[in-house]
Amino acid sequence: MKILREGDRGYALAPKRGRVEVVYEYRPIELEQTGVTVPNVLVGVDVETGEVLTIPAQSTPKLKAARDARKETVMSVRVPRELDDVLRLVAEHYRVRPEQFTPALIRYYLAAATSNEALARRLGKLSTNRLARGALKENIRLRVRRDLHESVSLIAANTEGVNRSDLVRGAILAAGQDVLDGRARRRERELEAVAQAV
Amino acid sequence: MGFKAAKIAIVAALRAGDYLHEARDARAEKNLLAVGDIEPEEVARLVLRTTSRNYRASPHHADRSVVVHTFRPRVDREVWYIKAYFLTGEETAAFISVHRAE
Repeated sequence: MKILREGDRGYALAPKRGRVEVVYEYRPIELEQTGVTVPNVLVGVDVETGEVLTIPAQSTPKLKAARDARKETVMSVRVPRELDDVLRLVAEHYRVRPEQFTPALIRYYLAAATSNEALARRLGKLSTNRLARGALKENIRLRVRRDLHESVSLIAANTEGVNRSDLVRGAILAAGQDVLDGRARRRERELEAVAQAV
Repeated sequence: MGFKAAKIAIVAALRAGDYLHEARDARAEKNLLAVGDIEPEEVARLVLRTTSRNYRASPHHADRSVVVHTFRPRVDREVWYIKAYFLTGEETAAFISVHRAE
């Protein structure tokens, strides 16, 4: 990958002036379809007019991240304090901070449930567990992609007596069983990788 | 630069990460490579799948000495539209468009 530095110079084609010199600068870029303004994007700027003419390959991840963020929605789920304890124990098991690991852990189970009917049923069943039915005194907020949010809504709609929040509470108990009770070694190893990645 | 040389040069630029995008289509999110909706290796694969019948060379509207290479490969029942050029004396490919044909 060719990496340009701020202040590097090159050439580009300006719509009415042909070949012109550009200087690379970090600037905010507005994406027209999504309406997102992405800060600090390295772009090639016409030295004479200041018009942004080029965007180098190295700037693509920033544009992609900004667009992906627009595709996310925030889930807010109230849980009993005991489930918060479970999340902290699971995070401790992997020696990571619960604030960092919890969203990834829950997304992992919800995403897995969208393609695994047995797991989806298990999360629904666990949500009726005594531990999941306590007073809802803690609040969990996590970002999820819109497509995952819709898939989870679909699972909830197809499971009698279960809503999205129940599935999240079921996911926390499933993590407790799989990791703390050692019921699912493969899943425990996958979560190890997730924990290392956050 | 003819069809085969253009293919080779564009694929080499993609694989080396030596390319950039014209800002206008990138900001309009019509250039899927610029916004990360398609990987450079996938674009290279599409260029390599293009036959000479689905290739066209034409002058750039801003500088008629610059040749714009347009590839329209048909892959998996989809026609793609890939448009790029090289400024004289440069190896960096400049992409105008990378998207499915409408």
